[in-house]
Amino acid sequence: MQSKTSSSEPRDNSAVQSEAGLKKSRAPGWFNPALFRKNLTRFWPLWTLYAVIWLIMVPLVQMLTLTAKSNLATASERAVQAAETLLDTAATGGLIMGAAFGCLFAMALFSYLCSARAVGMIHSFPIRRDSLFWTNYLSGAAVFVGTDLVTLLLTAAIQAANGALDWGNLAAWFACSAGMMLFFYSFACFCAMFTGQILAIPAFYAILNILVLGINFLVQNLASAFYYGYTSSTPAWVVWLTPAYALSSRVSVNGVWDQSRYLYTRWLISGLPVVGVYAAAGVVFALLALAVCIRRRSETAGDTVSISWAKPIFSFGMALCFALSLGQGLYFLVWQSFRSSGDNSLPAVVFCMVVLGLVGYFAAEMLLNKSFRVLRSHWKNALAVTAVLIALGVGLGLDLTGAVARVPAANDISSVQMDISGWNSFSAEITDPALIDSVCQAHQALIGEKEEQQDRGQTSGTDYWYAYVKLSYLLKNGATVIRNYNIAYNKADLEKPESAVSILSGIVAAPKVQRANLFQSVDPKKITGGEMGYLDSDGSYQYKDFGEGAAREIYAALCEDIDAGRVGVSQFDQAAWDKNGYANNLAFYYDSEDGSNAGTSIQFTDDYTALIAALKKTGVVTASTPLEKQAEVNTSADDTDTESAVPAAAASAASGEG
Amino acid sequence: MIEVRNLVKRFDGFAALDGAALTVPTGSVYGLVGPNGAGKSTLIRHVTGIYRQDEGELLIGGEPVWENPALKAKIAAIPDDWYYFLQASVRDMMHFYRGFYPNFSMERYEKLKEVFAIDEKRTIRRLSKGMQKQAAFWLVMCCMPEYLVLDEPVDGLDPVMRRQVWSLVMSDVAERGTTVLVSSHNLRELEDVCDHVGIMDHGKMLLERSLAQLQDNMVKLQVVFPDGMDAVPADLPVVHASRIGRIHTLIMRMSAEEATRRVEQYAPLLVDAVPLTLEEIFIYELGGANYAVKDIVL
Repeated sequence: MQSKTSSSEPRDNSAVQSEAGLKKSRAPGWFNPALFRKNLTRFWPLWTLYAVIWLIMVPLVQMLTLTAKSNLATASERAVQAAETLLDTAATGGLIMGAAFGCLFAMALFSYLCSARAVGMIHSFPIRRDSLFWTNYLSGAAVFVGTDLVTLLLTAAIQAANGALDWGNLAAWFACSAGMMLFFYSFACFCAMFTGQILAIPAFYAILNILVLGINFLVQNLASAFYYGYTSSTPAWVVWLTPAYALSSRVSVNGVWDQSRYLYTRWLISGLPVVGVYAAAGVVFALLALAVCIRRRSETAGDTVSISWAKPIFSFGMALCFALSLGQGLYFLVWQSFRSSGDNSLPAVVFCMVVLGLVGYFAAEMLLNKSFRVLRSHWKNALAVTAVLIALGVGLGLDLTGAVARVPAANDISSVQMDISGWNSFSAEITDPALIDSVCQAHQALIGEKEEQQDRGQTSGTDYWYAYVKLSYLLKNGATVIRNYNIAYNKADLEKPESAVSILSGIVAAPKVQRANLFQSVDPKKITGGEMGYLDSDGSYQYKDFGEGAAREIYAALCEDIDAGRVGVSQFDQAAWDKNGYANNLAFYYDSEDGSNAGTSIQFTDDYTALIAALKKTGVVTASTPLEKQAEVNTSADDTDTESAVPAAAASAASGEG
Repeated sequence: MIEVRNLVKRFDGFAALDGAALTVPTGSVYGLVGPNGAGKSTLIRHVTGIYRQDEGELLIGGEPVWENPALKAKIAAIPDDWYYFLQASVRDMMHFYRGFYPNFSMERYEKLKEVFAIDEKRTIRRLSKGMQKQAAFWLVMCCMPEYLVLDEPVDGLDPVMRRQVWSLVMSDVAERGTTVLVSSHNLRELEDVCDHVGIMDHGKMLLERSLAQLQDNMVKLQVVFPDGMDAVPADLPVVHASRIGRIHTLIMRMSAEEATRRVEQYAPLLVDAVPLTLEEIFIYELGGANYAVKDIVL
């Protein structure tokens, strides 16, 4: 048995190897050109698809818009149309392309992390993990920036050839599409660092993109089912943490309307700073992805979650998501079917949440362990999940957060939006401190009447009038508090000064509040006319227009009624409204801020004395265009029904049909 | 020199390496053997800088290998399941390797083209398993490594190509002083090429010696005792004894000279010292069943 080597003694091979060492080492720095080139050639179908879609959506569409023989007569009109199309493509197309291709790019470039064989080869090469990351990351970035630039230049050439070159809009398109892509791509790279399963990358990416909004919705949905007066809302931070939603809602394209020419003369994109914020967040996500990539272990290729500290977050997070989504879903689907409306069962919903929470937890553990045998080894954590969900239910039942009893301090409130709907609607923003104080008192009274209102809510019939009251507080710190109440009340409640409905009635009648309610967006100087609805002699509803002068006079009279406190006194008094309310509808037309026509309509009662006088004085109300009470109209309609019934009955009797 | 000291690597609590130690002298060919699951591939992945150890130290030429591209440029490896890009040909992979290894030799690439006789423009996945292994050797040998790490390197190769490949490796060892760490189940093959061997089991290195040390320390004697002496004398320190006809085969843990001298006290009719195979050394050195030797011999 002989070794082929002449000796087993360690030999000095430095002399032999110095020859090789003489070659100038192209030691990899932060970037590896070979890997970069390989990425560009290896995933060419993906890069091509991305480029082709953009080239169709932007330069081709621009060319067709600018050259097509459409109903747009002039070149300038076509240019405006092309600008709108370009910016729409930036806002909407950029979002869709960014969200879809950002994920696909990351999946392609970091797919090697999901294969043990691939990761074994790449990580055995003489290149640092950070260099690997940057080379891969920049491969994707180079593709989308390069494609966007080519698209930009091609579009510019087409616009220039048609005399419609607009570098401003082109720059806006580039900033928007590249900025969105930068964010989504970086975020997808960040997600890719946490998993060793290729299909888990889009799953994590999609879930994390909507997670905050979804959790917020589910938690608030649960709270609003059990918290008296609680209503769900979407705080600004939730929107910011839901990138696709934030970008879709805050980046928009608006036209500048020329009323005289009756067309849009320019189109502008708004929300580019939002794109900038997300692009900056994209850079942060890229750095975070790098940090995770460096620490990520090669042996985790194939694991659902590759980072050890993220595994419990995944398991317990999945339990929570299952409990809140599927648990609530099960409750509302099954349990709620057997209960009357509004009568929620906390134990039932907690039971459903615990069951589905455990399903979610064990499903997560099965994914992590790649085994179905997780029940025995993870029962302690399952108990913890159960305990947390029960504690959540108990906390909800006991209102440990104080959400039910919470009334913001008047000093902390910037404004209150008060909306009342039912048989008579009302909506006004209140900023006056004294009135805000009254709103807080009314809110406190509403909370104090909780038990009584819940009892009344179970009663059906005509004992009460019903109204829906929504209070939306905007606090000075920028936060919002929103509560809504369905209240059942009667005449006696209205006469009790300390009752919620009585306080609300007083607020509604305040001149400032009524002005806000009726003329929230009306500038009196911009009133252009109006109309009044009436019943003609045939009983059909007609409209009588009146001009700007009459409209201004009527408007002034209405303001006089408001200032005298005569408007809104019957807001909650349905009996008085039914008795004194007119069937006539009054509307004012005015120019809105964007130059388009707008209108606002009001209902009125006998209390509006100055208004009625002005209507008569201006000739709007005449013998042929009369005012008619709603009660009289209703009685007349009943009489007509009776009269038509009597002859029929007589004829029937005469014919002996009985 | 490759030095591994007290290396520990756990996967979800399971210790794949549990204090493994290894010393591969510069310019030697070190055979790493052990049963399935012993930790050989895990150890090799540490040596090539793929895995990062939980504990212990791994030095190559006195430097840690983890995240050390300058050092890794001197190391080339062929894993047991070599990876190539799905659409790549040998030529594509050559360009890729060339971009990473600064000493990649195109001159050798062209020379080896004749040795391996593979169409360099053909997609690798269209090649047979053996040809893929040849392609791996082709590229790795062109990296001009100072350290060559091979995990089951000749699996799938036909006998002629095995000989060819080992010949290439051994000529690199002889001419360039390349240090080779090779993991294999095939002791007979390692016997022909290795000058050091280490046996692993349960994440530990059970034995690590030079082949010469092993051979000097154990001997196989074929003995014919005089008439009337049917059994092996009890005072002979025999590790293992067997008999066919009148010929006794004795394995003794000592030098051939010492063993012959002690047997000659009984005036044997015949004494002949025969070299042990690597397989026999492992079987008798490790004491047999405790180390599941049956798993490491073909």
